[in-house]
Amino acid sequence: MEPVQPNPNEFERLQRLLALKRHELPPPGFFEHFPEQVRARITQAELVPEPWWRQWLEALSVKPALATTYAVVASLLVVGGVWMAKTSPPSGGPQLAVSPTSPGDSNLSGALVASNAPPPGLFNTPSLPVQPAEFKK
Amino acid sequence: MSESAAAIPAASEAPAPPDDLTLVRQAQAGDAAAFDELVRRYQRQIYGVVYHMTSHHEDASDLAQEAFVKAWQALKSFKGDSSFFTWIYRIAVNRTLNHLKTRKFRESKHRFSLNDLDAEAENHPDMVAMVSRQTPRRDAALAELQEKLNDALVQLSENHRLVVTLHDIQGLPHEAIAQVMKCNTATVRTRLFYARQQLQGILSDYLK
Repeated sequence: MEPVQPNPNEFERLQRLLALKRHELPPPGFFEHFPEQVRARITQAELVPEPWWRQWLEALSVKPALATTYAVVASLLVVGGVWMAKTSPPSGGPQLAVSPTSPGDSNLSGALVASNAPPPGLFNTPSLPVQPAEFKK
Repeated sequence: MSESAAAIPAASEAPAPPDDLTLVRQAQAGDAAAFDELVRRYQRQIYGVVYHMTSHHEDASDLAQEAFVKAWQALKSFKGDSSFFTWIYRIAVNRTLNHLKTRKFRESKHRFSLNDLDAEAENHPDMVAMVSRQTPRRDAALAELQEKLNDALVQLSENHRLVVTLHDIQGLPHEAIAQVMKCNTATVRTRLFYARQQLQGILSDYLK
């Protein structure tokens, strides 16, 4: 889309208007004391060094290339982690307990067994004698 | 170190002031007075860019001081690939942009009054011409104009406000702005174009 061409006179007036902001000044004496204030803050910073994490953040803000490098490495680690989690074989997952190898093992009292087989249905088990309920009249 | 130190006269009334690089080398060697001279040299510009970005005197003062403190701490890493001027500007601009991202614009305790505008500005032909046509009360019009200008700048995106501040207010050339913002001059020109267009809409009452 072609931008609308501005009125050159208005543009010129705008520039002159903005140039007037150059005359906005801080309170009197501000710049006389400014170097002293900077010196005081430097001395204070040398006496009480900043924590490492803040220095690290400062370094990132001053050097965008370093920040980009960190971001790329972090992204690669995340993507790599997700990719490895998806491509790893399912047998590698956690198991609660080893499935019983013999039927007798399953009768151990208090044994907690995890199995991939679906739980047996109560009414679909042919060997289980289940009588339908009746209501007494 | 001894060569450069010998080249700089100790007296304050030196015929030719030392250039930035000489002062930087002295400061890198631990000469605090050389760094103070660099602070004195650029304090107005650095304070100015931060103030026009934040429209807040206290924040501007704090951020400008912080920029110089960080410059002192990082001075060892300054290789001279760019000028000290570009380097310190970049530090100040980055800190200001980070500040603006984390903190919303807030009203300054110290609103610049008309007395803060220097006498030259109040009698500036452009100022007189602009405000005298708007209202009969010139002082009120000046204050209104100042507030309107700041409000208009705050409505711009940070990158657009920065390019307007550096070019239209501080008078930096496109090439210098491109170095500070780490982009090419075409980007600077484009941003400037759209920023002015937006300002033109906001300040239309003052431009007709």
